Amino acid sequence: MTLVADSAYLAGDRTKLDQNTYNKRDTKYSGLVLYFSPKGKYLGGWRYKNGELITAASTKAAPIDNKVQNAVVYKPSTNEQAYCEDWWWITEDEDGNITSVTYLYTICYYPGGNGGGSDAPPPPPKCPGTSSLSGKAVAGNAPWEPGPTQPGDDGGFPPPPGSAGDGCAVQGDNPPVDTAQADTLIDTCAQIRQIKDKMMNAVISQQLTTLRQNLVGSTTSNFEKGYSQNLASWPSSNYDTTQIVNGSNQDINLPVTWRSDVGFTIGLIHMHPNGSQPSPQDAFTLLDPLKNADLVNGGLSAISYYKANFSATIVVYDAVYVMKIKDIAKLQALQNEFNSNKADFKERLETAIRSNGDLDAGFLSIFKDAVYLYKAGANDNSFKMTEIGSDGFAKFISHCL
Amino acid sequence: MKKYLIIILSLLCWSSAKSQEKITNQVATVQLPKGSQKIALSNFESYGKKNFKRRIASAKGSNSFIVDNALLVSINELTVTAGTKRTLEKWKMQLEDVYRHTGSPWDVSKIETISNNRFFIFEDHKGDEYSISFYSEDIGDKKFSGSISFKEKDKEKAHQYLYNLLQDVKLKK
Repeated sequence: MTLVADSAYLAGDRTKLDQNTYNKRDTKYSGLVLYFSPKGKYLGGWRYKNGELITAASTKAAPIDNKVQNAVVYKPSTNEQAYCEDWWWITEDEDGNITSVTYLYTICYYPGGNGGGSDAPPPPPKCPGTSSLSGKAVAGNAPWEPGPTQPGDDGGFPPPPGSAGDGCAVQGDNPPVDTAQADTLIDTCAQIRQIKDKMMNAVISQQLTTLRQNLVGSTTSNFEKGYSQNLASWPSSNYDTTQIVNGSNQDINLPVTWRSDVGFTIGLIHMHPNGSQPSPQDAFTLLDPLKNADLVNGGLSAISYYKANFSATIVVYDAVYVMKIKDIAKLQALQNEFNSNKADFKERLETAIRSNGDLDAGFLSIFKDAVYLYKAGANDNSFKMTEIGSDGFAKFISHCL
Repeated sequence: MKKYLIIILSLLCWSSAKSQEKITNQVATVQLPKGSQKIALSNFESYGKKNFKRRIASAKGSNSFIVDNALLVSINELTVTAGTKRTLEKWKMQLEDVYRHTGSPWDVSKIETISNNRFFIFEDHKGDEYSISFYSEDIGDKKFSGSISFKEKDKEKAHQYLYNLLQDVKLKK
């Protein structure tokens, strides 16, 4: 259990935190109580204001110095009147540089509610998702209230939402939309069309051609080469020309920027001279923009745009791979796993590839829930989705018209 | 007389290296070398966990064996799809590139012809634990494959076992 107290509640007195445990809660507590698994996976959380369990806080109630940041507010195109807040767990180093960003949950505010910008708590609905239009709807893991098991003033904190005894385990006919779940409903055919369109862009097409030429001539050099794919502005499909970057024979570092003077990086492309599939590090480059303060400071609209459009492309002599984000939290979890024990993670990949006798199946056996992997032949633009079949071997899905 | 004696002794040695165990799958018939003791996949995994620190993996539907309580052997037929069809030369180059990216060294990476069949043989080690993988060329939509896991002290035994095994593989080309 992690407490993220409001700075106003603490008023500089961090010892106030000692008055709050799982079994005991200060009657004036204001802030968040978050639950994580022993491996660091976010399980859910609750929001308190002056000792009262309320809905998730407004922007004002979640200052960045508490490290849970309300990234920004945006208006979804499907409902002009509604707006949503995405909540992210942001870790910073001593210099204030963002070192990791983990998606927590999304809250959508609908007409007829009490609004999200006020500190006054709105009347909470009974359970997550049961009164989406009359007040507010929760999307993601955050609860509205614990229901019948709401603890007393000194009764400590309720267990994570969704767990036994939180009073909201049974969902009504109108379940909340889980953003992570929604990710799995992404139209992969639309993604393929997006990839094809991007590949036909003059700047991107030139990058691809140059990398292929370098690939052909790579018999004397095993060094990787690549480009950042930078938009001149966003949203748009106008790409700036970028300089080719030389890497080593095992990796490459491509810059990610998010500024109008240097461009908005919406993709990275590089080649593997000896034909291996995307590496774990290549997959993790999908998270690189989240380390960029300019992008994060751009707010949720920028983050959403990045999430929907960013791609990592790997060119090999007989194929082109394009990876897109499937589940940002799962990819983050894999990166954490990789960083905590690189040798073990690498061995896991090597073993998977060797036992499957196949690069794609080996890669997907680890990354299938975190990224979409699309693949086309060397000289065509007919991308297909790559998945693992029930037999454990890679298969190529051509399900799009 | 001496010649006959040598021939008889050679035949005896050759036959003593064979076991009665024979496996047949969609791509090959294999006469297993002597000492191969068949085990269930669950035993393969538990034996691997108990005796090796490094990961030991086996493809679905594989045949698993323990040899002289020293070698852990898995023999499989792998599925080849249109997108994964490749020559042994290409597979060798790609697997080496995987290792180059992970920064792991390998001990052996070679294509060898044994009894008129070409195999890609790859060997690496982590500490004193070794692992050999071998792959035949694609045979339709399948390929013959397998692995041997062993400790450094059993290296010679493992290499001999591999040679005996691959010598007696009859691929259904």
